[in-house]
Amino acid sequence: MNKFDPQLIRGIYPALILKLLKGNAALYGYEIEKKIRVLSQSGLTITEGSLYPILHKLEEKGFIKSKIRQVKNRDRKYYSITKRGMAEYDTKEAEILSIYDSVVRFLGT
Amino acid sequence: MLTKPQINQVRKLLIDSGVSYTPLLDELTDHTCEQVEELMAQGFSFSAALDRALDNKKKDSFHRTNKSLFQQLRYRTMIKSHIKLGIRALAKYRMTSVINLVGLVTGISASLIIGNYIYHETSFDQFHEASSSTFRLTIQQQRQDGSVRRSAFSGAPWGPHITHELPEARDVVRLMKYRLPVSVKSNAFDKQFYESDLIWADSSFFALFSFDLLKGNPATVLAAPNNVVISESAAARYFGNEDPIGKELIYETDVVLTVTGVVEDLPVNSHLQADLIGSFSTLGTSFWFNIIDNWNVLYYYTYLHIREDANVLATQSQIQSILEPYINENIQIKLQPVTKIHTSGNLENELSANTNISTLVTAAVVGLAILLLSIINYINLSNARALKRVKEVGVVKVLGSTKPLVFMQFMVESAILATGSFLVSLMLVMYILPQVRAFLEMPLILPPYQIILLTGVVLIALITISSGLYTSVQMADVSIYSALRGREFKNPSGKRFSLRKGLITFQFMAGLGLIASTLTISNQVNFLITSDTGFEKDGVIEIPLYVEDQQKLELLKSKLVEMPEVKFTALSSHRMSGDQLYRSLYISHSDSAVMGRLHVDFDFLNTFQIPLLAGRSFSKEFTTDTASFIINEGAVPLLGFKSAEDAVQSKLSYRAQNENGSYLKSGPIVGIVRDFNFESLHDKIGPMVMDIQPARNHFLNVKFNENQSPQIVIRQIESQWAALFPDVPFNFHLVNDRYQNQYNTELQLERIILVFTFLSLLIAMLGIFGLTYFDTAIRAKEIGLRKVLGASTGEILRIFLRDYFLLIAIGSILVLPSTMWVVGKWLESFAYHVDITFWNMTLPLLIVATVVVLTTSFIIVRAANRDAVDSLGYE
Repeated sequence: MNKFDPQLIRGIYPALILKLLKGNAALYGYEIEKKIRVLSQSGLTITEGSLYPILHKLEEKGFIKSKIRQVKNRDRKYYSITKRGMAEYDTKEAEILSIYDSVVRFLGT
Repeated sequence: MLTKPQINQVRKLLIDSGVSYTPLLDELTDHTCEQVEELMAQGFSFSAALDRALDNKKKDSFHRTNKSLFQQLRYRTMIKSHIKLGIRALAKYRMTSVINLVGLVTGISASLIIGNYIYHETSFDQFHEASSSTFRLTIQQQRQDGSVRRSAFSGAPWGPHITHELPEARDVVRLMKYRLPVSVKSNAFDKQFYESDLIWADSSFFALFSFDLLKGNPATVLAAPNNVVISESAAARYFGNEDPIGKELIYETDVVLTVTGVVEDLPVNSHLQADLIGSFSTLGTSFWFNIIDNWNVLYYYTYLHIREDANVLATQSQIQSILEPYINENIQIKLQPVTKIHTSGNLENELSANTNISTLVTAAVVGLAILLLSIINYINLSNARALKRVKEVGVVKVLGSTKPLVFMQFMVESAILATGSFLVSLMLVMYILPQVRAFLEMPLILPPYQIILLTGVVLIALITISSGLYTSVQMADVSIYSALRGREFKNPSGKRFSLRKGLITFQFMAGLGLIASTLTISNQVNFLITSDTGFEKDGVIEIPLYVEDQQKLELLKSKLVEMPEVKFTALSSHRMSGDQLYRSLYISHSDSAVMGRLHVDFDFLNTFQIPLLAGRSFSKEFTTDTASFIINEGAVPLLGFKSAEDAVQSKLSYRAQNENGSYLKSGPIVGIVRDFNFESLHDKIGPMVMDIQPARNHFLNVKFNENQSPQIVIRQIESQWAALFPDVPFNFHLVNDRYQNQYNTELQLERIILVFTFLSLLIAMLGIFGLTYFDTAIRAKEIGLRKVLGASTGEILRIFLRDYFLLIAIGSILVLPSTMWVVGKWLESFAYHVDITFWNMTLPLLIVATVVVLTTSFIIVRAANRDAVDSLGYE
């Protein structure tokens, strides 16, 4: 599958991350990056340079929380979604779908 | 799975590519390791996998991410991690942290309490809506001896005339209050009370002052004669739970007052205090028939509300010219802002005791000095501790920390301690506030929470910046190489001049200055209490009189004198401590002067053992003595006499007012007494005249045998009193106690300065303890070497103490002359005072030196006794 223009999809990454965390107990950075790539059939790729600032921002806003565990001789940070994060995801999901509808309608005219 | 060295290699590469923010570094390390492991699983070698996973493009992007994270997260997450690091550092250096905390808490708490005191004192009368445009009329009167009398009194006709003539005047309120308690009786419960807070006020009282009237119409409650508004607590006292409106109170014996309103108890920060407010129009209609219209009977308080845009000085001179045709020519009118009354010191005849600006400024200076002392401790100790932490900084920098990060780490650490100290101080102050209130004998109202919050922010910022900045900048500047080699940081105490030495000297200066002040103040207070005032205070009790039956009073006196324990009894118009005399113009054959007037009776001189210089005392043997005078030494030259003997049998006369208008009294001077001072040692003994006027006596003074127990004598006097005046409560004071009470302000000042001296010494002690602790640790090698080379413990102790003694000497040269000047100025406010002695200035040196020796010797001796092998071993 073709890769999308990163500029176009930058805004939806936080929602995608929240969606992933909603369906999983806890994930670490590399796992999130990999899941986004696999689930979008390589259509959506997120670089480490974008992923971690988004994760930190979501954590700062209280939508996700983290826990550090020792795995394979190194610190690994697992992220999980909070209640506020779930509510945020619902809002974002409705927002994205509504934008999608509007865009489709607009392009179809 | 990667090995530890391989993981470290990944981490090192990431640091080299510019990733310095630890949480990001940890995550990227894990991320890259995962990628490398995946590639290795596909058959790549570790180094090939690492090259692929971390190519140059990625390195660039990581560097950018690191940078953008700093901006994006606005340092918040970093601050969180710094807070964690800060708390860890504070816990690690527990000893310094505790010393810092105790020092800062002491300093902040003391400054908070002083801040509260200043807030309380400056909040007086600010709550009136028209406070900025309300003024009190005060007078300045030039006396014949050149001194100026400043009084809060004005005349009754002044106010209404001013409102009539002055376009700027909006409203006026006149008040009158007797200097002695008055009797008030409620018919409902047949209860009699002696009220010291009854004032008479114009009907505009509630329009001009913002007191909350709970019952009654503010415009009319004081409109008619014989109306009275009572406070909530007076209402409860007189009428219990019943509605007081419409009820009657009997003032003195026959004036019936009707309750027309109830006012909420007046706020404690009001200079006006009243439990009963009677309508001013009662004066002149129920009593005081002929005085109220007299322009020159100054016994009232006049408050004027002027237009907001009026020029105060211009209005003042307008008032002067409006009143000039009616008042005595030597009277100057002044307008005193109502909000400044409490902080302008005491004029004569004040309604309540005031403070003055210099007291508040002194309090502010002391508060800031104590705060500064504790901050100085903090700077010194953090700085000393930094010597130990320099290696830690080196290691942090090796691990990728940058200059701003190190700076931030130390600032956050400082902020944590400052915030913690402020919160602990706030809790401590709230906890000890009741004790502080009792100690200061003041209600101390609390500022609103916004002010407390703002104070907190300012204090925390001040402490963080002033104490954290120096160390933070110093630490951030440390280069990795020299930090790890320990080369850059030399012990600053070794330098001839250093900031640390300067700061310690400042602490010594504060201690020396405060101790020197305490010594002089306590000398003066002691002098005030014990000095010879020219009359005998011991063994005399003073009984305030609320009775008018002269015959019964005479009977009581004769019964008391019959008691073997009682030596003399005497009536007087004034109490013999802190009272202010009446003033009248006395005319002799050759001169005239305004002088103090005291009414007494026959045994007055005996009761107080006042020595005669010439002539004789009043005596019942001379029936004409009710028209005679006794004057004091000071009055002799003012009345134009050459000597005391010259004055005897000369004629004297004066004019005064009573309820029936003005009257003239004249007669011979029969005696001249030595000057005696019962007004205050703040003022010089003034000229005064005594005569006999039974109706004017308000106190009965009883001199008893000093060998007797006062309690027993008082009980016997009380039973005599109760037999003759069963309805009138017996009240008394020991004259000596009351005399000492008038110096309460000075006693309070002495106690406060003593507390702050102790606190400043405590803070300085903590600081010096901490510094010596660090010094001995840092100079362990030097101590070891000196011991190896044959130095004894005593010699090492001397080397350390020599430095401190030098600083104490420098501090004393800098601070003692200015302290002498300030304390000298304070002493000058007393007409009679002690001198500053040699010991007042040398004793502080000894005390500070002793404190230093006691604080530091233990640590130095312990360090000196340590085995030199331990301290030199690591070399």
